[in-house]
Amino acid sequence: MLRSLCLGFLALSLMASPALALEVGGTLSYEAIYQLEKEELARSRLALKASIQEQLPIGRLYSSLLGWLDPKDEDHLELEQLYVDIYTPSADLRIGRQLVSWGTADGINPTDYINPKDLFDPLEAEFRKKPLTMVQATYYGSQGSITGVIVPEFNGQEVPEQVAESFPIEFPEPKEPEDWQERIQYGLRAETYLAGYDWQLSLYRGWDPYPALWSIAQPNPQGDPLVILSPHASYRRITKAGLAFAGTLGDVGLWGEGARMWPEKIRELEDNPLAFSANDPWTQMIVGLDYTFLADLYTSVQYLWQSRGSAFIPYGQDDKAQSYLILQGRYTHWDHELELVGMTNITDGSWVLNPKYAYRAAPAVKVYVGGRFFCGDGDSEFGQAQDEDMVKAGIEFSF
Amino acid sequence: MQKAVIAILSLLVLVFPAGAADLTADEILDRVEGEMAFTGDGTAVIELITVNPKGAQRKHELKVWRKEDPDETSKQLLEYLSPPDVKGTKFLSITPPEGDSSMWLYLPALGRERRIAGHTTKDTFMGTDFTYEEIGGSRDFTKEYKAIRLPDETFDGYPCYVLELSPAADGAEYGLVRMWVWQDEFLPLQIQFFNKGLEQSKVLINREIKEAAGRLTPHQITMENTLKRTKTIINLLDVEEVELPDDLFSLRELRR
Repeated sequence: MLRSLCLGFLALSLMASPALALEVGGTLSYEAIYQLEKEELARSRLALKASIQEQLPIGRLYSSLLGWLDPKDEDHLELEQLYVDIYTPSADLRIGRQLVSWGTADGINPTDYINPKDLFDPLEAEFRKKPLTMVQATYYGSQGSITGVIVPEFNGQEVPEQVAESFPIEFPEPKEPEDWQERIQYGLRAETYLAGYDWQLSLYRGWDPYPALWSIAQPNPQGDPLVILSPHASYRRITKAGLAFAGTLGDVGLWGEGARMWPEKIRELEDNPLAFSANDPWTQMIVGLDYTFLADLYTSVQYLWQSRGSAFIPYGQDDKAQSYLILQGRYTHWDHELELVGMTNITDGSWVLNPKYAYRAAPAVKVYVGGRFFCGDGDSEFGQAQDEDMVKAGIEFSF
Repeated sequence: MQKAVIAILSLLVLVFPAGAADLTADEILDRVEGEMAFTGDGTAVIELITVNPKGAQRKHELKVWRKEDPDETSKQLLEYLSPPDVKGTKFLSITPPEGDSSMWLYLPALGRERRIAGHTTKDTFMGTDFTYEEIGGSRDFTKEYKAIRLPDETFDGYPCYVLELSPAADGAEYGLVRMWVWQDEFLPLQIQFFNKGLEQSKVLINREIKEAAGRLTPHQITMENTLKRTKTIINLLDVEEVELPDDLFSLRELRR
């Protein structure tokens, strides 16, 4: 099925002509990543991302394809998005495989509920989202809009390697929702413009993309070892509600968003010292502001707070709240761009730094070098990832 | 990048006709200011070229939609048509007659819009030689400068009034401004800007005056920074005066 769709995509691209009014675009890129502690080339990837779209009398047809060749990884070909937009006088519909982006903050969006994010790929510059098949409808009124999303598909994340490796016994495949009624996820967002600010109130009822993990210890009748560990993994329902805003204060941009999450309770997680997941609800909030100095130097600062546990590792029984500060500076001068993004876990003092330099070598060609460096004590959130320190270089051609 | 765009239509500004007589400097300047107000609805396709001191060029093509409401709220929607790495990027600004503009930038890769903060109007916008107020057409020379008339001259073959403007208010950005105004149309063809040390810092030149959408319009606008040796050229590729619906200037349109 996927192969047919991809071939269809390519055929459409080849057919693209002014007569068909198809627009083709995308990027062809190469990226190499070298991990410093492991002293190995972790990525050598030639990637293609291509999209085609056509304006229709009723709206628009859009599809995008993502694929790569990488001797350090499995080759990959994916029909990323394929949807049709239908525009009516008061509502817009988007039907098909798509990505939905909700929220107002930069990079970390507590109210961006719909598509599952991969939090565990240390080589990616940002959290990659999984496209899902869904129906999205937005009604536009004079005071704002209301968006409803129905997702009949569930596509959860696997047990992360980093978590699985920390446990002596392999976790089983997580238990998935069995029938289609059970899989359905819903999202609702109301949006308005008030007092110079954009406001978004949102609600989600669906599935937590990462499975709950726990183990049960039972006495071994044989005696050696004394106990037998039996690991369990199961996806579970979750409800999320949030609020986001964005606006300006003079020359300063200002935004914020927060969400409260209520996971479905699993009896085996209660008072279980061998549980990797917890039943308690939690809150995640982020506020930020940005300012541009003399048109060349963009700066932003964001404060992230999570009421319980890490904002990036959805496992662990740490009940302490965590606070983070995210700082960004980007200096642009003609074809040169220098960027530094740093994030610190204020609670434990650890850091991750992402420097990057990019040069626009030609109108559609960008070359870059960069890296990611973790600092902190060995048991701190970012300090424990020091063996993931890496440098990277790449070239990207847009067409 | 969005900054590079905001302005552009408003630059189309420096345009329209009037009558001529033996006028005082203030009367000429009033006519120029009056003609600079772009009040109609319309669309334009624009080529924006920035040139660095080494002569390297960067070229963008944009489509601009503009509308002014009866209450003088100004609305602009801009979309990058090229180059490919920024194609599809859109920028929406809504500027009420009083108060700050609201601005949103839509990035296709992000899949949603972001609110953009206003900037001090005298900052240059990224990569170009225009300031926000030059680009946004918000500068009012009559408020900030006192004009005297110099002997008439010919510029590019057009008979021109020549005005010299000196700061009359503390907020004036330049130490001196000289302006060549085409006598027939009250269109500034050249403006020289001098800094507070009376050193020439920038020169704006309007060329290729042609009729478009029923008006005489410069089809090439060049701003050269003589100190930094950089240049920005705006070529007007197409312009159309057409009534545009209100809902074109909305987040809904930005996301489509």
